[in-house]
Amino acid sequence: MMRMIILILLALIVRVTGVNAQSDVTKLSVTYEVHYQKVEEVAKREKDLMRLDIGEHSSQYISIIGEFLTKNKSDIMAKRIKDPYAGYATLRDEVFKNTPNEGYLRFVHMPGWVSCREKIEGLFDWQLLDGDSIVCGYPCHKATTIFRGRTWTVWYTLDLPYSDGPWKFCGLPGLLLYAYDSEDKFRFNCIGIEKGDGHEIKMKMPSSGVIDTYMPERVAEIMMLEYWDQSAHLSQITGLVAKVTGMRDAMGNEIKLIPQTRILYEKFPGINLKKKYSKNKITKKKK
Amino acid sequence: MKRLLLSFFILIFVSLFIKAQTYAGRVTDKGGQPLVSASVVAKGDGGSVVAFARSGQNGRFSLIIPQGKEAKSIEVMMMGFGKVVIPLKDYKNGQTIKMQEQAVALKEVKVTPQRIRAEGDTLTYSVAGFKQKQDRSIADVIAKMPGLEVLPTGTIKYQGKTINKFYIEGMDLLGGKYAMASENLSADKVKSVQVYENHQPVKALKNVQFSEQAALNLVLKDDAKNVWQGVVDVATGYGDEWLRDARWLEMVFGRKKQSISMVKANNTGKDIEHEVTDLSRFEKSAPTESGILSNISLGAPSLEARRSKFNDTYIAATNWLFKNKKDDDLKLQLTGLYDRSRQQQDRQTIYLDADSALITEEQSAHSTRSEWQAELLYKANRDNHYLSNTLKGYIDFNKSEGLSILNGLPTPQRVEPRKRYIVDNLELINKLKNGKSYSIASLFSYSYLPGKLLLLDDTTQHLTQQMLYWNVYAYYLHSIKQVKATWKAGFETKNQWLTLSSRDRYSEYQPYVEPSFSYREGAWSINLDGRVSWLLRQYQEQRSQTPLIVPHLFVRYSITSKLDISGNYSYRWTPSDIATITRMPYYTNYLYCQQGSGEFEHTTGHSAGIGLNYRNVMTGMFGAISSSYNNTRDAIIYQSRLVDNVYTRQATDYRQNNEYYSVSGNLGKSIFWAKLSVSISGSYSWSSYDLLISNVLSRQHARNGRATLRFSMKPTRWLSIEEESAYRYSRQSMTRSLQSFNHQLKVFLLPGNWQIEWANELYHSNDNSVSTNYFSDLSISYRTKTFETGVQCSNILNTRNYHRHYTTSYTDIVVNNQLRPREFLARVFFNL
Repeated sequence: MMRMIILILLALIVRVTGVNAQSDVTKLSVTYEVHYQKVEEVAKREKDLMRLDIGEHSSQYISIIGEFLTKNKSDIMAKRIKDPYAGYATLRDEVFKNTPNEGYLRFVHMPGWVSCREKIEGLFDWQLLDGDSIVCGYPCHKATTIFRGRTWTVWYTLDLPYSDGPWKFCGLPGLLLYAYDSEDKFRFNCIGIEKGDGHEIKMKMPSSGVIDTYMPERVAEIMMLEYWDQSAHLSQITGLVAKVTGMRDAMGNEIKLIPQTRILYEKFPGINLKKKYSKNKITKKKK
Repeated sequence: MKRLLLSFFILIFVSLFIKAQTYAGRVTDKGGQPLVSASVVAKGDGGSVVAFARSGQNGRFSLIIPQGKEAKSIEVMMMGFGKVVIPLKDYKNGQTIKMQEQAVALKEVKVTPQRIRAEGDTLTYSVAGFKQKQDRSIADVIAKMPGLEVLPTGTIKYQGKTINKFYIEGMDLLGGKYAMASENLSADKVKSVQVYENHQPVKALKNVQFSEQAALNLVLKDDAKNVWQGVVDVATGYGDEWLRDARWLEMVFGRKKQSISMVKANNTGKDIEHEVTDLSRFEKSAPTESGILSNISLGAPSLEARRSKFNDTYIAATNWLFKNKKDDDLKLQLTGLYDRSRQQQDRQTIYLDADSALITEEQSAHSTRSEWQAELLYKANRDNHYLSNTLKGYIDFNKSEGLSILNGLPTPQRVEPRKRYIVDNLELINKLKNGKSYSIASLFSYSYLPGKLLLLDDTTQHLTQQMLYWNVYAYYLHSIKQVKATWKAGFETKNQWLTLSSRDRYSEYQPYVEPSFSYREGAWSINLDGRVSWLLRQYQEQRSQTPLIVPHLFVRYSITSKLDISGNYSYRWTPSDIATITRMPYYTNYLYCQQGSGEFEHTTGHSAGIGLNYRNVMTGMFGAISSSYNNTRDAIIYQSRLVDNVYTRQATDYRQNNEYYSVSGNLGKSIFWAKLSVSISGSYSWSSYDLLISNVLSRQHARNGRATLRFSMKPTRWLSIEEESAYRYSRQSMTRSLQSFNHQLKVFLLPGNWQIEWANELYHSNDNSVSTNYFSDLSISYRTKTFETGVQCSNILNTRNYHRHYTTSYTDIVVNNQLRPREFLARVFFNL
């Protein structure tokens, strides 16, 4: 009897202090145009389209192009519809805040399903600045922060009092509509705000059901490896010894396999790919 | 015990200095349930955010105001609830804040693809956002961009001011002759048009000398760069005679080399000469002598110029720009123009100040222009060092011949207004450490104008003008606190010779010192400069010495990031040159003779202006209003007599006091729906001047007004409309007012690759002596990316005459012009 009561109580407790947050629906959708420079070696500015879906207690920052490609994969393969996002180069990074764990955000890098988990409270240390502007028709205030090697200047609006923004940004009293870094390598620009259509906010999972979770610094290292040494990167994410012999882009043109230095949102001084991954060495890396 | 007291006192002492205030509270809904994650903000003066916090699980928050900041109110916000604002003085620390539910009225925003983008001082207009299917050259698209205006002469203006540079991919290939590119470069090759506001082209003067003009830069599409491109365009047809309109163009735009070469021939009335004309003087240049004689010009009616132009024009030009390893420019430009035009007109002129004397003329004239120009430029434009030398040469063989029926008598006319000059401009600027810089410059020119004019008595007037000009100066620039001070000293000399029956000489020698100060901080931009000089003049045996002080002030204040206001004032003291003071009488054309006083003359003047400029890139709206006042004093008043059909103007002892006020404004807006661009502009001016009538000085007033409306839109994929309407008003105190309208409506039907263009022009006025005129043109063409062919019919209704009546300061004129007849043209065009 006692055991039953304890079990029931336990079940209730687990239900109440649920590790998994309840499912959430989109209340507000904010579209951002992201301008960024992909690698140090090429000065070209690329464009990406991302959407921040904000729900009652969680949010997801996902790729619009990725969503479109997934939904219409068969039509695109059969060339029945034209690519409306020609000229965009998607980064394939997504951020989920307060889901699946409340109080934490998940950053997921799609190629390889590599992710990290970070505590939201105290993640960004914001300094408020003087300055008003209007972005997307909303009056905004200015703030700045130094986060992992980058100095960001952002504009947030109190008319939308969500502690949220593009990428990992959060912690301000209002929604971030515009952000850029001091080296002008990244720029997030809001181009649309609309009522949410009620679709679910849920972190994406691969078909295998397993996502590798690392520390943020390790994730950054793996992301940089993707452009530095494609063979080592493939070995890393599959766990098998692999060698990449050729790569093609979306239009079928051959891409040269040269080591390039990827520019990331965060700069970790401890990463030194040249030293760690010298060419012609294929080693098995532990997960 | 002592230690305890000490630490107690220290605590109190320290707490007196820690001004960081903490405000705590609890946020709940109206039922008392805690609200989690509400935003709490402390606001200071002017609504700036001073501190913030979020309510936790129990609705509690703790707001810490940092040291040195002052808060005026506390605000609590949450989606779905009404904002609560509590002034700080009413706030009770620890209180509960109840929030009322409120339906969220979300302001949905969709930023349409930005046709205009602003980044700092650079505005980028996307060509795809403004280009209409019927646009061919990039000038056609620039004309539709709000804030930008393309004049019929090819000059481009931004916010009412002419641009000071025209770059293609950051390189200055054409200098002042940019119409060659803007009117021949296809819009399909350009990705975007950038406007650099307040552009300072000299790198060594960046942040040192501020410019109020803007520059234009064309950003080409990737497939238009580094490749040789060519255009071949041939049209032929018939009207009164065999018509031709052909164009051959070659261009290449690379990072180290740019070139445009072209050959054009036209006799359909199109004005292609402006493409080899310098549209504005960009850099400091030595002036050349302006000729007294000019080709016979019978005045064109205020219709589109091509309707009354009977020409046969050929132009050839080649431009090359090379950049060496250090990014220095070497530029060579050669242009040539050959044109034979004829004109036909009947004119009746009443001279208001010569006792209303009447002259009737029937005139026809043939003018030949043969003008050749060469320019060689070397420029090293580096961050700390700027060196530029331009060598220009010009020679022409212009002449005109005409026949006029003057009061029944046939009178031949002949004039050869020839001009040759050579100019060399040298400038060196060096930027030293700690922001100082110095510069040395030399501007030199020599002009030679051997002119000939046939007079009524069958004699030929040989009028030769020569001028030697040299201005050499040096300056030193440094900063005094926030102000940039430039100390300039130089020597300017001008020597003029006028040879008729004898030789006259006039010289000016002017050593000068010109300090100038410029202050630019925050929203203010102030420039003050003054030239202090000692002017020595010599004419025949006379000498004069005059000390002069000529100040100039410019102020600009940015009220907001979109709106700025500016004002300027300057004082002028202009010595009159040999053409005004010479005692020898000379003819400017076969009817006009002028004679000066033989004494030193000058004019003085004040001018002041104020302007308001607005630009909003997000909404695509540009506007400007300006007002100006101009006063010129001491200009000679001439007494005019009509003797034997010659209108003689002789200098009297009376002096002018001209006043001119004007107000003008323009507004342009681009609207995303139907790719609509609208612009309206208006101007009104009052001027007063003195006229000598029957030996009595009488004050005259003239008023002129003008309003223009222009819009272009594309309501459906296959229909496009461009419309321009202008209203003109003019009135002089001695005559009645004149009002005229002209409208141009172009309708384009664009199904698939076909283009049907129907252009209409309507001119009418309230004055019965100005005829109402309607013109209609139709063209049908088939266009692909590289090829175009079509047929065109101009002046379908075959309107052959135009009547006009207009007024100037001392004349009243009625004119009848002959127009081009109905013409047909067939065209083939290749884009290589």
